[in-house]
Amino acid sequence: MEGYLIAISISVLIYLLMASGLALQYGFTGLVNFGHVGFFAIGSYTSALLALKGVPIPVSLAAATALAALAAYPLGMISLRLGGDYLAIVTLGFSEAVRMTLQTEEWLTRGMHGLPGIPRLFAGWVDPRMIDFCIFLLLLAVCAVVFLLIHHIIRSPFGRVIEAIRDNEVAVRALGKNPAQFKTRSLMIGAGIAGLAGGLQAHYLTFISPEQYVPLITFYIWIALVLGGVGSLRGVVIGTVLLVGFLEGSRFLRDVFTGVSEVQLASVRIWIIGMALICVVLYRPQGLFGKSSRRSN
Amino acid sequence: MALLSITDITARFGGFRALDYVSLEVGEGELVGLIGTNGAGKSTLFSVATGYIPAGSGSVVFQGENITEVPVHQRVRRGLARTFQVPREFSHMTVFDNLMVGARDQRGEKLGALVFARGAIRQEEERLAERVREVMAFLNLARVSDELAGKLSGGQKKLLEIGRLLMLEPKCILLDEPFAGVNPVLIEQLCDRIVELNRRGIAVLIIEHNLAELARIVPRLYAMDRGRVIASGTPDAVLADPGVREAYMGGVI
Repeated sequence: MEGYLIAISISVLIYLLMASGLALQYGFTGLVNFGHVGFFAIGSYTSALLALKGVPIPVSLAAATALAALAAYPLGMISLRLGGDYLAIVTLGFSEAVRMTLQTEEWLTRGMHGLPGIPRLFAGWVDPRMIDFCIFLLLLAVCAVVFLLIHHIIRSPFGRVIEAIRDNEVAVRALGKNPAQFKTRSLMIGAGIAGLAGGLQAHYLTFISPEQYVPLITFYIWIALVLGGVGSLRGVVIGTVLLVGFLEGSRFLRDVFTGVSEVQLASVRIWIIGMALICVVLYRPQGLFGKSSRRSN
Repeated sequence: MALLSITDITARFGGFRALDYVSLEVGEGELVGLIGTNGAGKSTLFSVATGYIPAGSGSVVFQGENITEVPVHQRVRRGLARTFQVPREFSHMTVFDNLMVGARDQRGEKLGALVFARGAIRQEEERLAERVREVMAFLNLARVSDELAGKLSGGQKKLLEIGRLLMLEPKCILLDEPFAGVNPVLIEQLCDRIVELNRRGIAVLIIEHNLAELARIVPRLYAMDRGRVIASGTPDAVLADPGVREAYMGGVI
């Protein structure tokens, strides 16, 4: 039971890390990124492949972060010059292209067979029974640092500009600032964070394969953001904990609803999430802890 | 030599000629008005001059340099700034923050500096805050410093937009209908502030429908109709011009 709680917590924290990246992009800059999982996948595979080649894990994680951030650069340059919804389409296409590439480039990724035997975090450093707990602590620390970083960014003059862009891009241009430049940087930071989350997950699971990186993951994060409230870091935490906690924890529903088949139960889970989402959008569109301004707290 | 020279500019939307070889000049430190009926092409001319709409032909020269192909934000950085007919405030941000965004080339806008130059950024922020307070005092906005800009009245939003431009320290500002939707008392105040700005050396080109107020403050006026400049000169001369009277009154008077 304790082990299970730690496993759920690790899952929550990895999602939380990803969600914080999207929160910066969407919540604070207004970028509709539907391909978050693509950057996550790039991070996972980069770190895993490097570590399998013998590169130390801290280095491979740094490379995962950097490569995911760099992957966002061309996307930003292409689509952020065009306004509005182009980014959504381009990023969604991008994440699927990443997944297809992971599937087909077998010489590098072993395709559908996946990558087994990825070095585990802390392996050989601590008692094997304590590894999960150590990974949990590490993730907690990484999340704390990343959240502090984002907090620092949104409170800075840079954050002031991205918030202004979310409000009125035309006016930002009228003030001599190039919105595409700011948005690209915001996109890259968020992507880098997703890449880091991907790398950490790879070194936790020790096995990754392309079908882990379906668009559903992206949309889970979107659901978490909408539930918790965009534009507030507290909302991100609450939304993610609620959603992932529910997704992982609802296996215990089995014990409550005996006599319901596995398939039906899976549907019930999705139904509950759907209803929660609809209710939030209807009755509390700013999310459970949403804010309209970073300065109003 | 003029500060801003617009020469033979054309702009078309489909088959419609919004601007038909328009030429106009604003001298260093000059205060100039631009009038015309709705659809005459005044705002389009502003958009071409500031780069929001590409010119079909012709040239925009600012401080002796041809900026016809220069992107919007770089024109602003050279000192050519504008406001909009409908105010474009950052509605979810406070008046104070709206003005803070206005300052050019802030170090804290660079991500590297956020990590490596925190002290310098803090100093810069204090310096900017001081300037913001000056601008707020100048425009009588100090009272609403902490209000969200979206909650201001129409007139206050216009003042805020002008304030944001002042943070840029521009050389020439184009004001698109600064008096529209503003109550008469505030119009008085706006006029006064615009004249004061001009006295401080900023060249101003104003589009306005309120001819009485405009004629009072500008020494020189252009009139446009159907994409062309049809008259220019002193307000009295322009308003007496038969072509202008024809365009405005449809020849009734």
